[in-house]
Amino acid sequence: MSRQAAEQAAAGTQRPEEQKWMQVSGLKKYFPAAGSTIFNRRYVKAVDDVSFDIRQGETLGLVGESGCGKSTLGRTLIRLYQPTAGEILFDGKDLGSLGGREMKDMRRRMQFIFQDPSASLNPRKTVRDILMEPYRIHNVGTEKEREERARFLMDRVGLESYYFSRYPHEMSGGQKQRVGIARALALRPELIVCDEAVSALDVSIQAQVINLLEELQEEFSLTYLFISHNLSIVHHISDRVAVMYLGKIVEIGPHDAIYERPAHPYSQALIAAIPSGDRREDRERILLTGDVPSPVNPPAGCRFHTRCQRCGAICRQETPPLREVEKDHFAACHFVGGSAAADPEQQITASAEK
Amino acid sequence: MASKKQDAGRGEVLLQIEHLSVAFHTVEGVHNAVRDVSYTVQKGETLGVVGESGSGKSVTALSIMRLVPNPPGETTGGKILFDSRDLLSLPMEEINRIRGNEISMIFQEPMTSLNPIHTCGRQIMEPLLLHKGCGKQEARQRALEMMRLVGIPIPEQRIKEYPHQLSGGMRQRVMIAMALICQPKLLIADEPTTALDVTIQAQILELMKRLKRELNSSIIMITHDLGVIAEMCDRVVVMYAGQVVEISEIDGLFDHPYHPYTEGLIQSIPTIRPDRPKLYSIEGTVPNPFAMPKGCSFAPRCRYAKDLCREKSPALEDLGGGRAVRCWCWRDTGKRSAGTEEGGEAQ
Repeated sequence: MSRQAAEQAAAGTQRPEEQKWMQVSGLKKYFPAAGSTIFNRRYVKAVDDVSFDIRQGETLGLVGESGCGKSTLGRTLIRLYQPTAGEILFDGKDLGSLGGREMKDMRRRMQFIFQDPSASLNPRKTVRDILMEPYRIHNVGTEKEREERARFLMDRVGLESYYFSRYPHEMSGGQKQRVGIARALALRPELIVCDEAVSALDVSIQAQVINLLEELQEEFSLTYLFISHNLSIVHHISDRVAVMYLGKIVEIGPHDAIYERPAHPYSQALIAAIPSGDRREDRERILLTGDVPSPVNPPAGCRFHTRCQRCGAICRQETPPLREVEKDHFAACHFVGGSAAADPEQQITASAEK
Repeated sequence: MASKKQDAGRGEVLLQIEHLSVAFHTVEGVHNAVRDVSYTVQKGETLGVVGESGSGKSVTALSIMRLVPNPPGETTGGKILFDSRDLLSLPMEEINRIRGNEISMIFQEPMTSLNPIHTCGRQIMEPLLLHKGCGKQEARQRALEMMRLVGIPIPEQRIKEYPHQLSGGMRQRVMIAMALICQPKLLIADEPTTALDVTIQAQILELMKRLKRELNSSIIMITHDLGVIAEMCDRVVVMYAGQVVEISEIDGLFDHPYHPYTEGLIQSIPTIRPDRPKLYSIEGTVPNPFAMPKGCSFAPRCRYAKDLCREKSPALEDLGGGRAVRCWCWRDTGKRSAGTEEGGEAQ
């Protein structure tokens, strides 16, 4: 991955080929920690030196436990947060260096769908106002055209026109999320970051919204960064998957590689932890012990070593880089690349006694 | 299956809910949150209760504990028999003796259901001091044991800490320790892992299975996650819009759901399978509680609905073998779903 990044950087301002549509390298986002003083600066390292790319037209799934920095990464990516360090190349431009007006133009091309539809829609605006606002901000069309487009969007996301002059509190969770999706679509973006876009919805509504997102992707040739803690949904929707742990991407690759041959011990444990709908399948379960350490003071070396059952001396000292396991599939583990990775004997199983 | 060992104690009924109805009086009108719900919990079994938000699954559980706030809530009918006592008509002093002692509950959100101004130790010890008449020293010893059992590291340290000092998984363990300290006969777990991450969820589920084995308690597991149900439960009750729509042994339910809602739920969950078929989605949304459809409450969203379904509400039909379903056309569901499975496309 880092090699790719270097090559990309060397290629300079040349318009990136389709493969390198969005290129993130060395991205960091630190927040001041509680109790941090000017004499003793302490930071929550929410995103710490992350490099990856997003390809046009794909859905990249981003999974990890709460607090691992996946939402921060999504927000930093479209500069809702100013990155602490690193470079985000989008279509050849570094987003970090863009000024306010340029960034505003850029924002038309990238949108965000938030987790909680109730909290992300203005309760004092009607659906009509909510959907027309992006056009007003970006000065698109006349008032009448805006309304037409808003109606088109409503229709596209499957909302009856009855709701056009309604307020968010008059709608159900699923309907509100549809408004959120319609709003994100308004300016015909290329990239949409979906941050837990379906997590707050009931199972039957979840399926409706997932199907809608997939249809829209095809229709408007969208690229998604799909952030979720629900591994089954990410499996369903993604082309590639990135696994995050404590501010770092520990594994990234095509979705079938990640789900069938996870290389990093953390990904293995995550995938084993998914409750399967099938009772007859007697899986051996890798049970992680303990909790995620604090991102203020992450463990030295490999950040996962405190919970890893394969941990060796090197893991406590050196941070493993992302290494290629197979084509297009990278993992950051000292033991990956050799045969140990695929050896099931290495996976120490269910020990609830611990 | 994992339940084989407990079969000795099975078949004996521990808790019996009969025709329970609960209504909430709100500004907008009367909301019948639970409508004529009946189910039983046998000794040593894990009963799953699934349903979407607003299906009445939590309100039923709260009724067992007599925790439905009144007003606005009101039990409008039914009985809840626990060891041949009707929990709904017992005086409050009796209920207080049962709560936390013979029946205890794990709530969804450990942060809001633990008391922030008392130490974890004090909260875990409280049921012992109240119900078992333990001395403080003994209670402390047993609290430490229980904390070790639920996998809280360094309990001597944790027992002095406050809930805000713990992580989500640890708080949930404290709740479980609290719920289990008196070795209840019945444990009600209301979405015990919904607020937790998958890896922590796996730990907690593993823990609950082990505790059930060791203490031989019965568990009512309320969740909307069918994956969790498949993993934990022996029998399942499916609820929709305040009613029980299907009761079944776990295997039967997943192999052959009879109610179209159950079928839709099972088909709408993304699974980890190499091929990724388009998800089936149940059209529409849960009906407005103040404007329940005439006839079957699921009819407006049902792909099998006939005229009869829109006219007349079906009764919960006992099919024998521990199965019951509330649907006019359950015979079709089975057939049609077998057909769609073979077709590979479920739309």
